[in-house]
Amino acid sequence: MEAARSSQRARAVIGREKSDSLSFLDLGILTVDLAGFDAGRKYCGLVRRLSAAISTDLEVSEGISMAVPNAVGESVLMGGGERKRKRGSEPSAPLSKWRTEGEQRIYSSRLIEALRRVCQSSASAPSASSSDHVRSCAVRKAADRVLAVSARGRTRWSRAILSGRTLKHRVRPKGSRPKPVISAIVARAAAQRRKTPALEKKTRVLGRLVPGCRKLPLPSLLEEASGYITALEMQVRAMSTIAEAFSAAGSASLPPIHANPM
Amino acid sequence: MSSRRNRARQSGSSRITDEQINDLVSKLQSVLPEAGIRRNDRASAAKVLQETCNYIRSLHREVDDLSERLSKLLEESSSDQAAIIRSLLM
Repeated sequence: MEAARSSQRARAVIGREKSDSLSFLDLGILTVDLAGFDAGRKYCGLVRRLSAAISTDLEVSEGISMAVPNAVGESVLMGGGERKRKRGSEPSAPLSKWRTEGEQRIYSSRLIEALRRVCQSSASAPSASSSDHVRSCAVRKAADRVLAVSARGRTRWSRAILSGRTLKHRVRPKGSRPKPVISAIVARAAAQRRKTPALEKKTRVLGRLVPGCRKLPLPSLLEEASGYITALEMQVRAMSTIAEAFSAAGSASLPPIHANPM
Repeated sequence: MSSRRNRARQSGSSRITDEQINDLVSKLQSVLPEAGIRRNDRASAAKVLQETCNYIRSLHREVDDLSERLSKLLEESSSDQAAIIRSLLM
């Protein structure tokens, strides 16, 4: 009965995804349902603030110390993935969700909306601030943020992107996020016994490249990296499609549409 | 076997087995764009990590180039065209 109710809720939430974006608040509600944690309630409060911050384009500087255990997040996303797979026949692995065309279309539409906002904001701002470099940075940040939202907060890199864009731009105000530091240290000590220094160095480089994964032990880092790579591939595909469409529209010199004012 | 892996992960990954790492490394390798035929364990973990770093860097560069292109295209297109393109892509 519990499972039926929660799967019903999951289906309702996923159905809503078609019209507007699935907010983390929905994810929090699902968490409470499926796991019945107290932590889920704390998570809800946190993501309420986060979703408000996203919609007003602010940058959340505090760490999103996720109270959601990964296992729960997995089951939620598996339910969502099953649902979406009715459209495309993909194997049930979380990585291949980035390769479905539906996902890419969702990302493209969200990205276009974000781009329009960027365009409008740069149009309203004085032209001194809208140099090319600034604007392309804004575009890149918007694209990354939309990508992270599409990941629905399940992966560490997406949460890191949404909580402040730490790597590329500024130094983080706090030292580290309130993660379980002790187990991370123990794990790293255990892993280091097997790793050579060359591996260690490459691991560190990789941790710097993937956002939010600097102090991660090797297995989690590898998982995050593979998810991040597939997501980046989808981002590249979507952005190149949009760029092609724009340049084709520009060169074809479409007549302005006056018939139906939007 | 999978239960052992799950248990290791849930207990703060206190027992990272070599096999677990090799598993993840091979999964990562499958994601990378393989030009050669070096799939069967011949790529050591260090090589896979190196390829991964290079690949991520190149993807970042592509995203930067594309966002530059998009920003240039955005400033010269009107909002009408943006609406058209959105309807085309949906």
